[in-house]
Amino acid sequence: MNNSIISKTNEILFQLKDDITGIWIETIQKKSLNKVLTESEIVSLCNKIIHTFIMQIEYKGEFFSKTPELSDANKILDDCSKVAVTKGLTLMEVSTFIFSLKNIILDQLGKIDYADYISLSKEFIRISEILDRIGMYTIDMYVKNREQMIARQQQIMDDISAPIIQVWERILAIPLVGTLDSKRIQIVMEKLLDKIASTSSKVAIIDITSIPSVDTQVANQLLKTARATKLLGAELIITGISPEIAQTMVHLGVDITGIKTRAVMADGIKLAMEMTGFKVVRLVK
Amino acid sequence: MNSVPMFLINKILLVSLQGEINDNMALSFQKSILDKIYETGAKGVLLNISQLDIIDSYLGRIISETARMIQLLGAKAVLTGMKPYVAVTLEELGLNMQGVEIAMNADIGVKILEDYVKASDFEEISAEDLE
Repeated sequence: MNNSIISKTNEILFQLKDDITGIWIETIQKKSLNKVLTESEIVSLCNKIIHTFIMQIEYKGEFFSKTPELSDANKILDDCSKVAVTKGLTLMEVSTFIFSLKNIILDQLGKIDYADYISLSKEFIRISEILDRIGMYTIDMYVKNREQMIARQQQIMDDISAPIIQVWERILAIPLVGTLDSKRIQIVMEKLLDKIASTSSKVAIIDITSIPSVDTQVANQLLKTARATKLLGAELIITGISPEIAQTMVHLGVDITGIKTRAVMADGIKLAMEMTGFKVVRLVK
Repeated sequence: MNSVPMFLINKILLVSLQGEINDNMALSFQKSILDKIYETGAKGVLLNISQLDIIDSYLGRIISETARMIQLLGAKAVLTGMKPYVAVTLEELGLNMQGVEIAMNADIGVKILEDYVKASDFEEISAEDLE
Protein backbone atom coordinates (compact mmCIF):
# COMPACT_ATOMS: atom_id res chain seq x y z
CA MET A 1 0.00 0.00 0.00
CA ASN A 2 1.44 3.30 -1.06
CA ASN A 3 1.81 5.51 2.00
CA SER A 4 1.76 8.72 0.09
CA ILE A 5 -1.66 7.91 -1.28
CA ILE A 6 -2.91 7.14 2.22
CA SER A 7 -1.43 10.38 3.55
CA LYS A 8 -3.04 12.31 0.74
CA THR A 9 -6.45 10.85 1.54
CA ASN A 10 -6.01 11.41 5.26
CA GLU A 11 -4.95 15.04 4.84
CA ILE A 12 -7.83 15.91 2.53
CA LEU A 13 -10.35 14.21 4.76
CA PHE A 14 -8.92 16.09 7.74
CA GLN A 15 -9.33 19.38 5.92
CA LEU A 16 -12.88 18.48 4.94
CA LYS A 17 -13.91 17.21 8.34
CA ASP A 18 -16.01 20.20 9.32
CA ASP A 19 -17.88 20.11 6.02
CA ILE A 20 -18.42 16.39 6.37
CA THR A 21 -19.69 16.86 9.92
CA GLY A 22 -22.09 19.56 8.76
CA ILE A 23 -23.54 17.41 5.97
CA TRP A 24 -23.84 14.47 8.35
CA ILE A 25 -25.72 16.49 10.95
CA GLU A 26 -28.15 17.67 8.29
CA THR A 27 -28.65 14.14 6.99
CA ILE A 28 -29.37 12.87 10.46
CA GLN A 29 -31.94 15.56 11.09
CA LYS A 30 -33.59 14.71 7.80
CA LYS A 31 -33.83 11.10 8.90
CA SER A 32 -36.04 12.18 11.80
CA LEU A 33 -33.48 11.36 14.44
CA ASN A 34 -34.05 14.91 15.63
CA LYS A 35 -37.23 13.58 17.20
CA VAL A 36 -35.28 11.50 19.73
CA LEU A 37 -32.17 13.60 20.12
CA THR A 38 -31.74 17.33 20.64
CA GLU A 39 -29.68 19.32 18.19
CA SER A 40 -26.81 19.77 20.60
CA GLU A 41 -26.81 16.03 21.32
CA ILE A 42 -26.62 15.25 17.62
CA VAL A 43 -23.81 17.77 17.09
CA SER A 44 -21.87 16.41 20.06
CA LEU A 45 -22.21 12.78 18.96
CA CYS A 46 -21.25 13.57 15.38
CA ASN A 47 -18.19 15.53 16.42
CA LYS A 48 -17.05 12.72 18.66
CA ILE A 49 -17.47 10.06 16.00
CA ILE A 50 -15.74 12.12 13.33
CA HIS A 51 -12.91 12.66 15.80
CA THR A 52 -12.68 8.90 16.25
CA PHE A 53 -12.74 8.43 12.51
CA ILE A 54 -9.84 10.81 12.00
CA MET A 55 -7.92 9.01 14.74
CA GLN A 56 -8.50 5.69 13.04
CA ILE A 57 -7.61 6.69 9.48
CA GLU A 58 -4.27 7.96 10.77
CA TYR A 59 -3.62 4.80 12.75
CA LYS A 60 -0.95 2.74 11.11
CA GLY A 61 -1.04 -0.52 13.01
CA GLU A 62 -3.24 -3.60 13.05
CA PHE A 63 -6.82 -2.69 13.73
CA PHE A 64 -7.69 -5.31 16.28
CA SER A 65 -4.79 -4.83 18.64
CA LYS A 66 -5.32 -3.26 22.02
CA THR A 67 -3.09 -0.27 21.62
CA PRO A 68 -3.67 2.88 23.70
CA GLU A 69 -4.55 4.98 20.65
CA LEU A 70 -7.28 2.60 19.63
CA SER A 71 -8.49 2.30 23.21
CA ASP A 72 -9.08 6.02 23.34
CA ALA A 73 -10.99 5.92 20.08
CA ASN A 74 -13.02 2.95 21.29
CA LYS A 75 -13.76 4.65 24.61
CA ILE A 76 -15.32 7.57 22.75
CA LEU A 77 -17.56 5.17 20.82
CA ASP A 78 -18.49 3.38 24.05
CA ASP A 79 -19.55 6.72 25.56
CA CYS A 80 -21.61 7.49 22.48
CA SER A 81 -23.35 4.13 22.76
CA LYS A 82 -24.16 4.88 26.41
CA VAL A 83 -25.84 8.11 25.35
CA ALA A 84 -27.89 6.12 22.87
CA VAL A 85 -28.97 3.68 25.57
CA THR A 86 -29.91 6.43 28.01
CA LYS A 87 -31.92 8.28 25.39
CA GLY A 88 -33.77 5.08 24.55
CA LEU A 89 -32.69 4.89 20.94
CA THR A 90 -33.58 1.69 19.11
CA LEU A 91 -30.94 -0.44 17.45
CA MET A 92 -32.27 0.68 14.06
CA GLU A 93 -31.86 4.32 15.01
CA VAL A 94 -28.30 3.77 16.17
CA SER A 95 -27.41 1.96 12.92
CA THR A 96 -29.03 4.64 10.82
CA PHE A 97 -27.13 7.32 12.69
CA ILE A 98 -23.71 5.78 12.25
CA PHE A 99 -23.95 4.22 8.84
CA SER A 100 -25.36 7.35 7.25
CA LEU A 101 -21.84 8.74 7.61
CA LYS A 102 -20.46 6.19 5.19
CA ASN A 103 -21.91 7.50 1.97
CA ILE A 104 -21.02 11.06 2.86
CA ILE A 105 -17.37 10.25 3.33
CA LEU A 106 -17.08 7.88 0.39
CA ASP A 107 -18.64 10.57 -1.72
CA GLN A 108 -15.77 12.90 -0.82
CA LEU A 109 -13.25 10.30 -1.93
CA GLY A 110 -14.65 10.50 -5.42
CA LYS A 111 -13.60 14.14 -5.58
CA ILE A 112 -9.96 13.48 -4.72
CA ASP A 113 -7.51 13.49 -7.58
CA TYR A 114 -5.88 10.06 -7.45
CA ALA A 115 -3.29 8.92 -9.99
CA ASP A 116 -5.37 5.94 -11.08
CA TYR A 117 -8.52 3.98 -10.41
CA ILE A 118 -6.62 1.33 -8.49
CA SER A 119 -5.55 3.87 -5.89
CA LEU A 120 -9.11 5.18 -5.62
CA SER A 121 -10.40 1.65 -5.23
CA LYS A 122 -7.85 0.77 -2.54
CA GLU A 123 -8.60 3.92 -0.57
CA PHE A 124 -12.30 3.29 -0.97
CA ILE A 125 -11.89 -0.10 0.60
CA ARG A 126 -9.64 1.16 3.40
CA ILE A 127 -11.96 3.97 4.42
CA SER A 128 -14.99 1.73 4.05
CA GLU A 129 -13.50 -0.85 6.39
CA ILE A 130 -12.73 1.78 8.99
CA LEU A 131 -16.28 3.12 8.91
CA ASP A 132 -17.74 -0.37 9.13
CA ARG A 133 -15.56 -1.12 12.12
CA ILE A 134 -16.65 2.06 13.85
CA GLY A 135 -20.28 1.20 13.19
CA MET A 136 -20.07 -2.38 14.33
CA TYR A 137 -18.11 -1.55 17.44
CA THR A 138 -20.58 1.12 18.48
CA ILE A 139 -23.51 -1.19 17.94
CA ASP A 140 -21.80 -3.94 19.88
CA MET A 141 -21.22 -1.54 22.78
CA TYR A 142 -24.80 -0.34 22.52
CA VAL A 143 -26.10 -3.87 22.95
CA LYS A 144 -23.78 -4.58 25.88
CA ASN A 145 -24.69 -1.33 27.63
CA ARG A 146 -28.35 -1.91 27.08
CA GLU A 147 -28.20 -5.39 28.57
CA GLN A 148 -26.39 -4.00 31.59
CA MET A 149 -29.04 -1.34 32.05
CA ILE A 150 -31.80 -3.93 31.87
CA ALA A 151 -30.02 -6.10 34.44
CA ARG A 152 -29.72 -3.12 36.79
CA GLN A 153 -33.40 -2.31 36.43
CA GLN A 154 -34.28 -5.93 37.09
CA GLN A 155 -32.22 -5.84 40.26
CA ILE A 156 -34.05 -2.75 41.46
CA MET A 157 -37.39 -4.37 40.75
CA ASP A 158 -36.38 -7.51 42.56
CA ASP A 159 -35.41 -5.52 45.61
CA ILE A 160 -38.72 -3.74 45.93
CA SER A 161 -41.04 -6.54 44.96
CA ALA A 162 -41.07 -8.57 48.14
CA PRO A 163 -41.19 -6.23 51.12
CA ILE A 164 -41.74 -7.81 54.53
CA ILE A 165 -44.13 -5.74 56.57
CA GLN A 166 -44.93 -6.04 60.23
CA VAL A 167 -48.69 -5.57 60.25
CA TRP A 168 -49.29 -6.28 63.93
CA GLU A 169 -47.28 -7.45 66.87
CA ARG A 170 -45.94 -10.83 65.85
CA ILE A 171 -47.69 -10.84 62.49
CA LEU A 172 -45.70 -10.34 59.28
CA ALA A 173 -47.10 -9.85 55.80
CA ILE A 174 -45.28 -10.32 52.51
CA PRO A 175 -47.16 -9.20 49.41
CA LEU A 176 -45.40 -10.80 46.45
CA VAL A 177 -45.53 -9.02 43.14
CA GLY A 178 -44.64 -10.02 39.62
CA THR A 179 -43.48 -13.29 38.17
CA LEU A 180 -42.31 -15.81 40.69
CA ASP A 181 -39.56 -18.22 39.93
CA SER A 182 -38.15 -20.69 42.41
CA LYS A 183 -34.98 -18.64 42.73
CA ARG A 184 -36.93 -15.59 43.87
CA ILE A 185 -38.99 -17.57 46.33
CA GLN A 186 -35.83 -19.03 47.75
CA ILE A 187 -34.58 -15.51 48.43
CA VAL A 188 -37.93 -14.47 49.89
CA MET A 189 -38.01 -17.57 52.07
CA GLU A 190 -34.60 -16.84 53.53
CA LYS A 191 -35.45 -13.20 54.21
CA LEU A 192 -38.75 -14.21 55.75
CA LEU A 193 -37.33 -16.83 58.09
CA ASP A 194 -34.71 -14.34 59.27
CA LYS A 195 -37.37 -11.73 59.90
CA ILE A 196 -39.61 -14.17 61.76
CA ALA A 197 -36.75 -15.05 64.05
CA SER A 198 -35.61 -11.48 64.62
CA THR A 199 -39.11 -10.17 65.36
CA SER A 200 -40.28 -13.30 67.20
CA SER A 201 -43.32 -13.33 65.00
CA LYS A 202 -45.89 -16.06 65.34
CA VAL A 203 -47.61 -15.75 61.98
CA ALA A 204 -46.46 -14.81 58.49
CA ILE A 205 -48.88 -14.11 55.66
CA ILE A 206 -47.62 -14.50 52.11
CA ASP A 207 -49.99 -12.85 49.68
CA ILE A 208 -49.91 -13.95 46.07
CA THR A 209 -52.78 -11.83 44.70
CA SER A 210 -50.40 -10.13 42.28
CA ILE A 211 -48.85 -13.33 41.05
CA PRO A 212 -50.60 -14.39 37.84
CA SER A 213 -49.69 -18.08 37.94
CA VAL A 214 -47.65 -20.69 39.76
CA ASP A 215 -45.92 -23.82 38.57
CA THR A 216 -44.94 -26.99 40.43
CA GLN A 217 -41.58 -25.64 41.52
CA VAL A 218 -43.06 -22.47 42.93
CA ALA A 219 -45.86 -24.35 44.68
CA ASN A 220 -43.40 -26.77 46.24
CA GLN A 221 -41.16 -23.93 47.30
CA LEU A 222 -44.12 -22.28 49.03
CA LEU A 223 -44.81 -25.52 50.85
CA LYS A 224 -41.18 -25.78 51.87
CA THR A 225 -41.45 -22.28 53.25
CA ALA A 226 -44.55 -23.25 55.22
CA ARG A 227 -42.84 -26.27 56.73
CA ALA A 228 -39.69 -24.32 57.56
CA THR A 229 -41.85 -21.69 59.24
CA LYS A 230 -43.46 -24.38 61.40
CA LEU A 231 -40.02 -25.57 62.44
CA LEU A 232 -39.34 -22.07 63.73
CA GLY A 233 -42.45 -22.35 65.87
CA ALA A 234 -44.43 -19.97 63.68
CA GLU A 235 -47.08 -20.49 61.03
CA LEU A 236 -47.52 -19.50 57.43
CA ILE A 237 -50.80 -18.43 55.87
CA ILE A 238 -50.99 -18.12 52.09
CA THR A 239 -53.54 -15.62 50.85
CA GLY A 240 -54.55 -14.15 47.53
CA ILE A 241 -55.27 -17.50 45.94
CA SER A 242 -57.19 -16.93 42.74
CA PRO A 243 -59.52 -19.51 41.15
CA GLU A 244 -56.86 -20.16 38.49
CA ILE A 245 -54.12 -20.79 41.01
CA ALA A 246 -56.45 -22.98 43.08
CA GLN A 247 -57.12 -25.08 40.00
CA THR A 248 -53.45 -25.28 39.07
CA MET A 249 -52.41 -26.33 42.54
CA VAL A 250 -54.97 -29.13 42.79
CA HIS A 251 -54.18 -30.35 39.27
CA LEU A 252 -50.48 -30.38 40.06
CA GLY A 253 -51.26 -32.61 43.01
CA VAL A 254 -49.63 -30.20 45.41
CA ASP A 255 -50.27 -31.41 48.94
CA ILE A 256 -51.56 -28.39 50.77
CA THR A 257 -53.05 -30.22 53.72
CA GLY A 258 -51.97 -28.55 56.89
CA ILE A 259 -51.24 -25.23 55.20
CA LYS A 260 -53.73 -22.50 55.84
CA THR A 261 -54.90 -20.67 52.75
CA ARG A 262 -57.38 -17.89 52.14
CA ALA A 263 -58.63 -16.07 49.06
CA VAL A 264 -58.15 -12.57 50.46
CA MET A 265 -55.58 -11.08 52.74
CA ALA A 266 -58.23 -9.66 55.06
CA ASP A 267 -59.27 -13.18 56.00
CA GLY A 268 -55.64 -14.09 56.52
CA ILE A 269 -55.18 -11.17 58.89
CA LYS A 270 -58.28 -12.08 60.86
CA LEU A 271 -57.03 -15.64 61.23
CA ALA A 272 -53.57 -14.40 62.17
CA MET A 273 -54.98 -12.19 64.90
CA GLU A 274 -56.94 -15.08 66.35
CA MET A 275 -53.82 -17.18 66.28
CA THR A 276 -51.93 -14.56 68.25
CA GLY A 277 -54.53 -14.26 70.98
CA PHE A 278 -56.65 -11.43 69.68
CA LYS A 279 -60.34 -11.40 69.05
CA VAL A 280 -61.73 -9.06 66.41
CA VAL A 281 -65.31 -7.97 66.95
CA ARG A 282 -67.65 -5.63 65.21
CA LEU A 283 -69.03 -2.93 67.45
CA VAL A 284 -72.69 -2.18 67.05
CA LYS A 285 -74.64 0.55 68.71
CA MET B 1 -71.58 -20.23 29.92
CA ASN B 2 -72.93 -20.99 33.32
CA SER B 3 -75.51 -23.71 33.06
CA VAL B 4 -75.36 -24.66 36.72
CA PRO B 5 -77.79 -22.74 38.92
CA MET B 6 -76.14 -21.09 41.92
CA PHE B 7 -77.66 -19.01 44.70
CA LEU B 8 -75.82 -17.01 47.28
CA ILE B 9 -77.50 -16.72 50.66
CA ASN B 10 -75.68 -15.32 53.67
CA LYS B 11 -72.25 -16.12 52.32
CA ILE B 12 -73.27 -19.67 51.46
CA LEU B 13 -73.35 -20.68 47.84
CA LEU B 14 -76.08 -23.18 47.02
CA VAL B 15 -75.21 -25.18 43.92
CA SER B 16 -77.44 -27.76 42.34
CA LEU B 17 -75.91 -30.18 39.86
CA GLN B 18 -78.63 -31.65 37.73
CA GLY B 19 -79.37 -33.71 34.64
CA GLU B 20 -76.58 -34.94 32.48
CA ILE B 21 -73.23 -33.31 32.94
CA ASN B 22 -70.64 -33.96 30.27
CA ASP B 23 -66.91 -33.41 30.66
CA ASN B 24 -66.91 -29.83 29.37
CA MET B 25 -69.82 -28.82 31.56
CA ALA B 26 -68.05 -30.32 34.55
CA LEU B 27 -64.95 -28.20 34.00
CA SER B 28 -67.09 -25.20 33.35
CA PHE B 29 -69.08 -25.52 36.58
CA GLN B 30 -65.84 -25.99 38.48
CA LYS B 31 -64.59 -22.66 37.16
CA SER B 32 -67.94 -20.94 37.76
CA ILE B 33 -68.09 -21.99 41.39
CA LEU B 34 -64.53 -20.88 42.09
CA ASP B 35 -65.04 -17.55 40.33
CA LYS B 36 -68.24 -16.95 42.27
CA ILE B 37 -66.55 -17.62 45.59
CA TYR B 38 -63.73 -15.29 44.65
CA GLU B 39 -66.10 -12.53 43.51
CA THR B 40 -68.55 -12.65 46.37
CA GLY B 41 -66.38 -13.76 49.27
CA ALA B 42 -68.67 -16.72 49.87
CA LYS B 43 -67.45 -18.87 52.73
CA GLY B 44 -69.44 -22.04 52.21
CA VAL B 45 -70.62 -24.11 49.27
CA LEU B 46 -73.48 -26.57 49.47
CA LEU B 47 -73.22 -28.96 46.53
CA ASN B 48 -76.51 -30.68 45.94
CA ILE B 49 -76.22 -33.80 43.80
CA SER B 50 -79.68 -35.27 44.41
CA GLN B 51 -80.81 -34.37 40.89
CA LEU B 52 -77.92 -36.02 39.12
CA ASP B 53 -78.77 -39.04 36.99
CA ILE B 54 -75.32 -40.60 37.14
CA ILE B 55 -71.92 -39.86 38.56
CA ASP B 56 -69.16 -41.43 36.54
CA SER B 57 -65.52 -41.55 37.55
CA TYR B 58 -64.72 -38.30 35.73
CA LEU B 59 -67.50 -36.36 37.38
CA GLY B 60 -66.66 -37.91 40.72
CA ARG B 61 -63.08 -36.77 40.38
CA ILE B 62 -64.09 -33.27 39.31
CA ILE B 63 -66.37 -32.93 42.34
CA SER B 64 -63.63 -34.09 44.67
CA GLU B 65 -61.12 -31.72 43.04
CA THR B 66 -63.53 -28.82 43.18
CA ALA B 67 -63.96 -29.36 46.91
CA ARG B 68 -60.22 -29.15 47.40
CA MET B 69 -60.00 -26.01 45.29
CA ILE B 70 -62.81 -24.50 47.34
CA GLN B 71 -60.80 -25.25 50.44
CA LEU B 72 -57.76 -23.52 48.98
CA LEU B 73 -59.85 -20.40 48.60
CA GLY B 74 -60.55 -20.56 52.31
CA ALA B 75 -64.14 -21.72 51.97
CA LYS B 76 -65.83 -24.99 52.92
CA ALA B 77 -67.61 -27.48 50.69
CA VAL B 78 -70.39 -29.80 51.83
CA LEU B 79 -71.95 -32.40 49.59
CA THR B 80 -75.58 -33.30 50.04
CA GLY B 81 -78.20 -35.43 48.28
CA MET B 82 -76.01 -38.50 47.92
CA LYS B 83 -78.19 -41.45 46.91
CA PRO B 84 -77.37 -44.97 48.13
CA TYR B 85 -76.67 -46.42 44.69
CA VAL B 86 -74.43 -43.45 43.87
CA ALA B 87 -72.50 -44.10 47.09
CA VAL B 88 -72.01 -47.70 46.02
CA THR B 89 -70.84 -46.68 42.54
CA LEU B 90 -68.36 -44.18 43.92
CA GLU B 91 -67.03 -46.80 46.35
CA GLU B 92 -66.61 -49.25 43.45
CA LEU B 93 -64.80 -46.61 41.42
CA GLY B 94 -62.47 -46.09 44.34
CA LEU B 95 -63.36 -42.45 44.77
CA ASN B 96 -63.40 -41.50 48.41
CA MET B 97 -64.35 -37.83 48.01
CA GLN B 98 -61.57 -36.60 50.26
CA GLY B 99 -61.85 -32.96 51.19
CA VAL B 100 -65.61 -32.98 50.94
CA GLU B 101 -67.75 -33.26 53.97
CA ILE B 102 -70.90 -35.18 53.19
CA ALA B 103 -74.21 -34.33 54.84
CA MET B 104 -77.19 -36.63 55.06
CA ASN B 105 -79.56 -33.91 53.97
CA ALA B 106 -79.58 -30.23 53.03
CA ASP B 107 -80.64 -29.04 56.52
CA ILE B 108 -77.63 -30.61 58.14
CA GLY B 109 -75.43 -29.39 55.31
CA VAL B 110 -76.58 -25.82 55.75
CA LYS B 111 -76.10 -26.02 59.53
CA ILE B 112 -72.51 -27.18 59.09
CA LEU B 113 -71.83 -24.33 56.69
CA GLU B 114 -73.55 -21.73 58.84
CA ASP B 115 -71.35 -22.68 61.76
CA TYR B 116 -68.29 -22.36 59.55
CA VAL B 117 -69.40 -19.01 58.18
CA LYS B 118 -70.08 -17.72 61.69
CA ALA B 119 -66.66 -18.79 62.84
CA SER B 120 -65.01 -16.87 60.06
CA ASP B 121 -67.12 -13.79 60.44
CA PHE B 122 -66.92 -11.10 63.05
CA GLU B 123 -68.83 -11.35 66.25
CA GLU B 124 -70.89 -8.30 67.10
CA ILE B 125 -70.72 -6.66 70.47
CA SER B 126 -72.50 -3.53 71.46
CA ALA B 127 -70.30 -0.75 72.70
CA GLU B 128 -71.99 -0.76 76.10
CA ASP B 129 -71.21 -4.42 76.77
CA LEU B 130 -67.53 -3.62 76.46
CA GLU B 131 -67.48 -1.30 79.43
